[in-house]
Amino acid sequence: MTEPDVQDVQKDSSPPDAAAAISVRGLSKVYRIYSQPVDLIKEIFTGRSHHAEHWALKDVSFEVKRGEVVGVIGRNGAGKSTLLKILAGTLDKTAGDVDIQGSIAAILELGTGFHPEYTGRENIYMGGMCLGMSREEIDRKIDSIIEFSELASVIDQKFRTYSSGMQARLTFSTAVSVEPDIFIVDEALAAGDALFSEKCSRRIREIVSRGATVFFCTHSMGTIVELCDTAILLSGGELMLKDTPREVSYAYDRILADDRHLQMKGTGKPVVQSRRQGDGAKEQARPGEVPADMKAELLSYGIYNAQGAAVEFLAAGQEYTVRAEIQCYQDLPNLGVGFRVETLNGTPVYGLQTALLDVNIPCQAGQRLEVDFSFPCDLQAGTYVLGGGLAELRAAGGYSIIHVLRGAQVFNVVGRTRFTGLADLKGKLLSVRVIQE
Amino acid sequence: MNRRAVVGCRAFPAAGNGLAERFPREEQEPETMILKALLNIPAYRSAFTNLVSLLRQHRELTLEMTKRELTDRYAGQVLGTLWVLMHPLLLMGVYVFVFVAVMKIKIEGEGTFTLPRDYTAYLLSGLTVWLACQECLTKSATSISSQANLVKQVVFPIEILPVRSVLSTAVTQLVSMSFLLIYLLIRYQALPWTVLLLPVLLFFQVIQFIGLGMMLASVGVYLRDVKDVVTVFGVVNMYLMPVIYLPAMAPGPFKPILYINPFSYMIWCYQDAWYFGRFEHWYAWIVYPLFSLFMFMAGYRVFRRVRIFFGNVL
Repeated sequence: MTEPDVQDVQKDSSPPDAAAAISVRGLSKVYRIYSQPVDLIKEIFTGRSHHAEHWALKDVSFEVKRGEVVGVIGRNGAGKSTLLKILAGTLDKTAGDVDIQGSIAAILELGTGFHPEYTGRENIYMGGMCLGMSREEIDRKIDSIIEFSELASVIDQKFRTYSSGMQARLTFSTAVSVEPDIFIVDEALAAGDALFSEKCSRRIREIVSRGATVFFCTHSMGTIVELCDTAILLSGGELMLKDTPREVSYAYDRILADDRHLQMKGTGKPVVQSRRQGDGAKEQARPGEVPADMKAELLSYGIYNAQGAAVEFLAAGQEYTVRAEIQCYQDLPNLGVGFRVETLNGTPVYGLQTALLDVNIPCQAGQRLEVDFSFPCDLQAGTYVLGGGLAELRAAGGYSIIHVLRGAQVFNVVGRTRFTGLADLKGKLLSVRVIQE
Repeated sequence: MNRRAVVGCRAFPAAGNGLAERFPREEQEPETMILKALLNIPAYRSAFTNLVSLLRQHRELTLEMTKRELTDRYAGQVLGTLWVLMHPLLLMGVYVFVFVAVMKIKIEGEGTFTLPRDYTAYLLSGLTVWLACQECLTKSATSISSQANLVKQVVFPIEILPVRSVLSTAVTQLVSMSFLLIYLLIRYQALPWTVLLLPVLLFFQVIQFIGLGMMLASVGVYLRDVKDVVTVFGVVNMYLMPVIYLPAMAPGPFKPILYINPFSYMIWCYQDAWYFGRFEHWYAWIVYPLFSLFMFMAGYRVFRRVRIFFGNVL
């Protein structure tokens, strides 16, 4: 019977250069789920298994270099938090190797160590110490923490008197004042109002520019694209893809679309296609997999320029064509087709549906349709996501959705625009008059 | 940044990483396994050095957390930290009232066994210790399970959680012992020289309860019942030790219980120091330190063995 020697586990304090900060090989994690605490005792004494198993992580391997910013994305239950906790050392692993070089600070939750009955200032000390800072270190940093939190006027009042936004600001400010080699963050970025979140991302970038390795997980693809060098996509505990944020964002959107598709179809395994493998409409058609009750399928959505070439970079103010390719499997008296443009955060910008245009599209089984919409690209420069859907419109009114393809394409609008906001509503300057001298 | 790297590494080693493969599941008879573990001397030694160096590293945080535990409890209350004084004073007052004023218990010595002081002094010399121990047991049993966020959400040396429970109750004990000191000074205008040994006794008590607390805290994570078991034990055990009565007053067949109970030896040591003023129970002065040291090491061995699995259950 050997026992762990905590001393042994301590890493060499001199950080090695250029080597991987985090390297994970074949990491797996099984949660044993006991329906009642008694089951655990039964298992100890009888030696027979009394638990259900849940594989939260399956054979995950990757490396993170020093100074790299890595974002982990995945749906709920994909194993993100489990991965972060194992990296932080707060959870054991079932199999595999985790090697971490350097000091770690983890923010898996904001406000650890904060107590409502103490003042903001006292809480900064306790919270900071819980995150591994020493008293002198906090003494040194406390002014900048208070300044960052914008709470200087109330810092000596009790923490419980703060609004939840103020509490979030203080806990976040304390958390980001830690200066570790490796920083592990779990979805703690969205604290406070818009102005403050902007400051937060700036602060994260600052930490990054100091050479720290940052490893964080989030649901927001926008954050990943904005902050990360590399992104990791987890699904069902497996590492699906480790690539540039853009590639991963695309694959993630496909997972979401496929899962939605599955919820509709009710069978099968999600198919993940990276943009690289899945390029081209023909490859995306999967006639062999279509179940009998599928009435029609959106094969692809694309944006084409005046010359008929598929484009990913659109010039602001130019006219383009959005084309949907549809495979029909059944006769439908009235098929509805639509597309939608969203920002990376999922804010809908514009959408168009044949149903809204009072257009009837009848179709027959086996037909393949191509539907073109004009798309005047009067958008602000930036990155957008194009998606679309098919619906069956009923004669009596109403509709049922047949197929939704979210994130069919990510495109960028480039060029100089002469307005603020997302869309150009074609406002004009009418006149300038002097009404009083 | 370099400085931080060094401090950071020492402060929070990436504990847990690399632990799991260190215990391959051994296919052995449970009895031999337990026996082997019990007799594993190097493991005790490493547990001792580990824990001591750990506490040395985190002494600042430990002290701060202890201070917080004391003030946390009374934060936002009108009387605030005054309760730290009131609580033990009231408890001691009730016991003295019941056993001295109402029940009028008298104790007598026989033969060479002379009783140098009154019953109140006898009662309080054991009571001050066990009341604190009682509180300490319940507190440390929940010290980990009540701090799930520190265990799961940050890289935190959770070893100090049971330790701070012990240290914070030691403060309460110091308070109640100072009441006893005042009583003795008023009643006898003198103290036995043996009170000089109290710091030593207190030291062994603290390390014994750190070990015990770690054991209870680890089990308490898995079995929430531990907290209740311990609360009941704290009350019952007071009557299974010579705190209120003299060992001679216990009926014959029950006497062995007093000697089997490891906590009796601690009480005897304190009574020698406060009450008898001589080494009346010389054997207790051997058993108590040895048992304390054993608990300290054994408790931490249990704790470090299971700490990494806490995250699964909390």
